Amino acid sequence: MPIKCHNRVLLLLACMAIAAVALPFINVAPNRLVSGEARALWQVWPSAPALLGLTLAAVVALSFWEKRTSHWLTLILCESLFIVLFWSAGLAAAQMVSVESPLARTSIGSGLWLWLALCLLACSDVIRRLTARPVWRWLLNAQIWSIPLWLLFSGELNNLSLLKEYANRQEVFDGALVQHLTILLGTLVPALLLGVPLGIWCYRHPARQGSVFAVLNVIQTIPSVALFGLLIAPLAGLVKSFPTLSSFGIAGTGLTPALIALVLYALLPLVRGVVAGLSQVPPDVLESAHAMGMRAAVFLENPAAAGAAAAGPQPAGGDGTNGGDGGDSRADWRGRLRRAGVPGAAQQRAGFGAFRCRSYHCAGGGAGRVVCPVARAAREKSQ
Amino acid sequence: MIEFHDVSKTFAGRPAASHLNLHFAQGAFSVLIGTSGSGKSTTLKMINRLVEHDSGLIRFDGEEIRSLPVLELRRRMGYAIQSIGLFPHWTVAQNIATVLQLEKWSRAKIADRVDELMALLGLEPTLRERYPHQLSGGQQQRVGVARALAANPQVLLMDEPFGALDPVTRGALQAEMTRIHRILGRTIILVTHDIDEALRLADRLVLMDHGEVVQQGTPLELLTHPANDFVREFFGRSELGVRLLSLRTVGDYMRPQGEQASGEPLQQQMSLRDALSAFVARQCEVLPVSDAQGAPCGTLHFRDLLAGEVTREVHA
Repeated sequence: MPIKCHNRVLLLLACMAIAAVALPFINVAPNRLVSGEARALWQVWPSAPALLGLTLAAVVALSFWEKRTSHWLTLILCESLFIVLFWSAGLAAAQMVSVESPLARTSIGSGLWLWLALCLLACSDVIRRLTARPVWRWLLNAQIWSIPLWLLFSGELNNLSLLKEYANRQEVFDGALVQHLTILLGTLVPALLLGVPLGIWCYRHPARQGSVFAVLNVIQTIPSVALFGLLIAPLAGLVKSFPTLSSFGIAGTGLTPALIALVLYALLPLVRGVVAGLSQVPPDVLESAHAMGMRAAVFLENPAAAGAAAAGPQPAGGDGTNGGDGGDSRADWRGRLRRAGVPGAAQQRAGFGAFRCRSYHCAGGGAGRVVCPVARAAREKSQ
Repeated sequence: MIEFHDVSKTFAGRPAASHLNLHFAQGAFSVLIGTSGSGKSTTLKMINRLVEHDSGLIRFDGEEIRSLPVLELRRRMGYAIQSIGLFPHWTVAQNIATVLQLEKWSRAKIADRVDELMALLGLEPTLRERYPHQLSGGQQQRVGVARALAANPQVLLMDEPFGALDPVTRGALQAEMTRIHRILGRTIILVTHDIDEALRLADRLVLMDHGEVVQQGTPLELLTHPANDFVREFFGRSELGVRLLSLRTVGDYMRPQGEQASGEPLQQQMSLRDALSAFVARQCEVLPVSDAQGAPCGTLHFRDLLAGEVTREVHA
């Protein structure tokens, strides 16, 4: 009987995992100031490589088995490996603390990171083979994290350098996280509320598209520093004439101009995505939808029908966000349509993709570099 | 069922339909035929208000179409088009159930109705969960027609539904449509530029040119009493004979039981056009005829084709 590999992705991932044994499993430093030294897996637990090798051999064997059962077994195996590796990081750290000194810092090495990533890739690939239903794919992918999250919150990993650092400086981390989420949601929600209706309006009135895009393009070309500068005067003036606004936290500097700038920057990709998406709905689909008595609103409201409206955005979005899916593009395309449960939001993955990049870019770069110094300067001045 | 009173429509100053007076009878299979740009599709789309008429009056079931809410009007009419327009992200079953979902039918009722329609259109139950791109062109159009028929519409509007199909598939679907029309007795209005399709399907033909009705009547009337040279040219002088034959079936001309004939029997439901072809191909003058069950029921003589009512009409 000829031997045939039925899951080449899995085989490749297993080979990469074998190669990754040579990489350090963890890094150990005597204290938090000096740089650590790499420890391979067998230096931590001499018998562990054999166990890992057995698992990988099983994975390789599964990749040659055609049956659907093999997918389930692969999922269970890779998920278990992921959990064990995750847990072993905490275990290794605890061991180092007891063996070396309480001050020793243990961080996850490149080998372990790679193994974790490979496990997730293998799981994600095998889930894609198991089911075409987006909900099931999502659930299966999500459940992988349940035990690792439980491990994290139960304190099993507390001896890792990363978590010790978090424990020591929790307030700073939490503050940064809250600020990040504020900027993200504060940009996302208004940008969607403005961008999606604007996009639909542009789609309905093609003659107006030119002027709308001209304005949005110009906004896009303004450097963020300049835009912050431009916003200081009008916002400060506004607050001066309506002092009540300042009680809402609105000011010429700080969070308000950052949010305004980010929303403005997000509009172009969002509106362009909505228009590109809607205009890619085939005209015959639209015609028959109208003829069957679908109201434009129904067309968008009906979750499944929204898919048709979202048909266009998906390929457009594919370039930006889902290009990596590759493979069975047709099925994925359909899957993405289904995912488009909420039309407005889902419609524009294209917008989203570009939008997220932009907001991270701005939040990390623009806001970090500009807003913070400006805010700090303002604070110093007031003192 | 549907009446046009002096209906006109212009697109950017050019008349697409002018002073149309039409009556589509309840339960009839009417076919609008004409060359490209003759306004036949526009006429069809004015019925479900995909195109709004400029002047005149269109009545649907006695009511002026603009007095009805547009969504209600459209849901009372099925619509099938050449490019089909199935929703690419929905399965066959979901596509067929589109209007049923809009009308908020219960899940069980929808499932039953989908099964019924798939059986009616000759779609295998295994296709239920397929997506449109996994179907052949003929299957897609069957789904399109099933979707149009789903909510028991009073009228079925079809815009060149079989235009993009290969001849064999087209023939099969035309036969299906005749059968469905016979079973359901639904009013059907079909637009086509294919003369043979029109003659095959129509109870009533409306020939249009430059937005005007040139002639309307039964297919036989149009072939035997053309109103002017345009009609005569349109149906083709050279092919008039065979087209007339295509309107009659073997059953109409057969001699009942009596003499025997050899050879493979003709079907009683076959058109005389196909019978003529069989006579020429087999080089004989008499062929046996069998009924739908395959039992022999008579013979057809080549000479009867010439002596019959059909040829008399040509000379008239």
